[in-house]
Amino acid sequence: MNCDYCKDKLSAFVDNELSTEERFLMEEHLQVCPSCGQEAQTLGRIAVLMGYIPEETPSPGFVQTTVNKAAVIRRHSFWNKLFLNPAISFVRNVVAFVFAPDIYDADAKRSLASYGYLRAFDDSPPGSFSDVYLTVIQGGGN
Amino acid sequence: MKALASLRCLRQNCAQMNEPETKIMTDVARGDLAAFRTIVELHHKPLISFIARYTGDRDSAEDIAQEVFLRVFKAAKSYKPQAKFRTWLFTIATNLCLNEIRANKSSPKFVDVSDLHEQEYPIIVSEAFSPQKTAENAELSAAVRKAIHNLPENQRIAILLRQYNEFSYEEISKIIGISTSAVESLIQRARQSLKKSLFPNLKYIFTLPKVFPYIRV
Repeated sequence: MNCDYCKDKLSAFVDNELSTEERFLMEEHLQVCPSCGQEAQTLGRIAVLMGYIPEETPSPGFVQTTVNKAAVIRRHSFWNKLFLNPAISFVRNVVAFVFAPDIYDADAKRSLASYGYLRAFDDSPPGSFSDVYLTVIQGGGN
Repeated sequence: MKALASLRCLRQNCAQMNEPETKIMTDVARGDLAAFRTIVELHHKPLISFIARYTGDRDSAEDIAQEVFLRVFKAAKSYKPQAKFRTWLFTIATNLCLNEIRANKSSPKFVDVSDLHEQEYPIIVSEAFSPQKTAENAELSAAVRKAIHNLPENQRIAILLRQYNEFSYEEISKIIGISTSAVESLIQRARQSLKKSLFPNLKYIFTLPKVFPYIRV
């Protein structure tokens, strides 16, 4: 193992993230190379030093406040599911039906015509039962 | 080889399925607030600390942490234990922190060392430091915080997740969404930057005991 490779891998060594084989090679190199050995100790000490900074102390009411907020979300979600969402869909459909019946109708026809079983009649000879059926369904016949 | 990899994957999935949080999350998905409380109690301390260190803003850390937990609550029904619960939680936290930092258009708020009060920034207490050196210790503690806060965003996330939350490189790679070797490189560069930033304090660092006593340097 050379020094460049060793220095690239030093952090992984400090964090114990090397494979057994890599770790063995690394330790072998560190025993004989004072420069890399020194660097390993320095990085290790920096890691230790960072560990001395304590965790933040949360405010005492944090857990309760969070649970209370979740309770509010749950309550809203329950009422939404029960009343609000069906009510919104109903109003939307009524508005579409009353104010834009053509679009509503055209949408319904387009979705019908897109079904596979209707497309199966596409090659029907003119005047046959299938052809008449398709014409009626697609609104082409008067 | 493929069979071995799939076996390892299967074993990993089984381990994730057996995580206590997986069971708790199924209760949370049913709207069980007691189960949700358990999740919050288990994870709020490390999460708040991570957010505070990452954003450099203690005041907003609790707000962000609360938002993280509420997102967990809302998404409980769609939760699938593909990764460890903790990894998922910290992924949400990291994204929210990034949004917060970008929204504020500020790199983490940093207080000048000379403005630091001991109560706000606790003194590092170590056997290696004598009580007489209290002022120096406070300065050192602040210097470490400053050095961390001055790291580029991606290096800071990686080193914080590794150092304080003990995530493996693989877990960090899932949280940040980069490869494991990229994580290794980020952490390596972060430690080098910290070494440079802490250079004036190196005389104290060398009073710390050897981390690898078997290395004869």
